[in-house]
Amino acid sequence: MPTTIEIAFILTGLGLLATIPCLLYTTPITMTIFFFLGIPLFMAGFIVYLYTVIVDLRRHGVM
Amino acid sequence: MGAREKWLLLFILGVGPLLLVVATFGLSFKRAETLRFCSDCHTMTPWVADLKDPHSQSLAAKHYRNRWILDDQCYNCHVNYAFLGPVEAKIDGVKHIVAYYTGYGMHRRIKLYEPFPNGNCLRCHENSALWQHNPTHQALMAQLRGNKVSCISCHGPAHTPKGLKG
Repeated sequence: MPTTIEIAFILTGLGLLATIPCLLYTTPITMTIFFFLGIPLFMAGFIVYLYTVIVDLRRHGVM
Repeated sequence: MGAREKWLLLFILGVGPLLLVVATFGLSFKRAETLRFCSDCHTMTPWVADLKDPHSQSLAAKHYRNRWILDDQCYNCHVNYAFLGPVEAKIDGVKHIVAYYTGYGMHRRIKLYEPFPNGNCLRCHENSALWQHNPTHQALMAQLRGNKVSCISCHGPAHTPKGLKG
């Protein structure tokens, strides 16, 4: 598995850790963690994944 | 990496987190309307204590004690019912959280951003016969609807929090 995918997995996993408490029990603390950590971590993970996909597509001559 | 693995990755790293974020976003905003959520911040303790005080004669306490507002008592009064009222109320809520944890924007004395709009009261009371047939309300109808005379000026105080400093 490419290293970038592993990085994306880690970022998404951290995002999950920041999101699950808010989903289970919403308090000002969990909501703050979700908005300011969870969402950015998910976005970062997706951007890294997207980068990997684009590199892969270019390698196969699709893009 | 086969096609199946690639589709699985798309779900795990893209679609799945997106669905989770949307669900958490919606649920958390809904739960942020509850009294329990507002009372989680210690800043609000004097106001919530007054609300729940069975002997308090404040407007908020009476509404809570008699369940004139069934649930989400803070939110029902403090969201301004304009076009984007509930959205603005939620944005203000996020600002409060940021101010609470960073200290930035925290004021020594808690006060409303603007005078309490009568529309928040009239949303429930305006169509009641008791309100409409009251001679004082009839005499002041235009001023009440125009926010020139506040409902609180006769029916207040809204809150009587105890033990405030500063």
